[in-house]
Amino acid sequence: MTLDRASREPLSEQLFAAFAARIETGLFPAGARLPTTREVAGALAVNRGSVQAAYRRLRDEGFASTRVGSGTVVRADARRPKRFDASELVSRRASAIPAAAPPPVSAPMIADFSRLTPDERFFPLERFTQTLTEAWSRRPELWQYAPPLGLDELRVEISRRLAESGVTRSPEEILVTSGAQQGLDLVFRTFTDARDPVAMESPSYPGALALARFAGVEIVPMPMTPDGPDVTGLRGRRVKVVYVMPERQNPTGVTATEEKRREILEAAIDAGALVIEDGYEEPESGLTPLAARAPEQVVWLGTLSKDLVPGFRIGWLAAPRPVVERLALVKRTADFQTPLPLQAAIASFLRAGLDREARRARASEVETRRKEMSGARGRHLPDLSWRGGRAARSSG
Amino acid sequence: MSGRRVAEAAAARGVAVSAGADFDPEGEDRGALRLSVSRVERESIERGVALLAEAVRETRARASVLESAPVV
Repeated sequence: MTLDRASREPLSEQLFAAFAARIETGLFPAGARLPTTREVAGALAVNRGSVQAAYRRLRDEGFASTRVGSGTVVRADARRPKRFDASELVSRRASAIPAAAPPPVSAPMIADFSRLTPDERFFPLERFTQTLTEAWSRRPELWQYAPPLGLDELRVEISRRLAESGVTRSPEEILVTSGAQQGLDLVFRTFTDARDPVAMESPSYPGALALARFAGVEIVPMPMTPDGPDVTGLRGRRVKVVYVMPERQNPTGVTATEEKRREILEAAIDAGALVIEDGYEEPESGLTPLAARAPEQVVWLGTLSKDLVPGFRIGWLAAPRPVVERLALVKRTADFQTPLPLQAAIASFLRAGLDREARRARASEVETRRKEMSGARGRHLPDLSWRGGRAARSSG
Repeated sequence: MSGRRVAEAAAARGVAVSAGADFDPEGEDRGALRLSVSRVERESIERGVALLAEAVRETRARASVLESAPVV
């Protein structure tokens, strides 16, 4: 408790306010005995009369009561005229993050079309469990702090996976992150300051939009067309980061065409921007990823959240070494490391091809649902226009 | 038509969909929804879409009364 002796506010008022705030916040709970006025006067080197005046006001305003023999005690029904309200302290950055969506379902759930995560019924659970146990049993080093880029064996597997998509990155050019979401957060923190221009598809993934708002960057929208994002808004200006999902864009489901991919890269090169290619699902189109076309310009974001186990929060980014090392510094500052046992598990999942197995197990069911959906849309909502594959979108 | 109102009307019928506004950089209430089949039960798709259609009709009717103007 500190008092401002230079203040024009009387010491008794200051003492009252300090005690009242401690009672309001619960630091001094109901029933707690306050120190005697003599103790307070001694500890704070103030006139005892000031302390007595403060205690009188605590009693008058219902914060405390005095009984002979038990001293001054916080009342159970202590008035809380202006309870401490943490929401008044929330930063502008945090206030920019929108509330959770979609709207809560009030009736019994009949159909959930809102989530874009794998159905756990298609997880090969037995093989998962077996692989998990093998991956982290008898390996005490997994309970330690990690090498800065993540577990070597996982980065080797990721490097192999990327090569299959045409992206050449050595394990030293890969950083393991806590989901692709952290990868994008690291890019924003490392390469942008507040009000820096960042180009994003419009509409785009809400998780990415929330990060951009949190970072306080200026979003330069690239309206989605049936071929991919329209990049004309980037012409003739400098932009720091261009964030795109060329493969089955979320939410439109659009896969950027060959021409569009070239346009995106040319616009980014002219704008001097780092490109973030979000490969949230493994590429299926057979078109060359941006990261394979302009390796110096592109950061690849990867995850298994959409294909395997969202709850594991394992993702990665692949970029030129100086970029990865810079991001790794920021990652270390943010959370030191992504849990090693989970990294080991994902390395084994990838080695065993469990993600592809899980995907294959789901594929025919998802295809059936898609057909069912398209039929139902035609029957019930024929006047709305629909787009996309897995993530369909209506407008109208 | 407000995607958000449709999503709310659908939620009241037990059907969860994402509103276009959640995906808009400005948070603008787009006349759009995102429907995903990754979690929905195959057997409930028909019923779910029928209820969604109800939500769309209700939102349209309400919008045209409130705004007494045609809505896109």
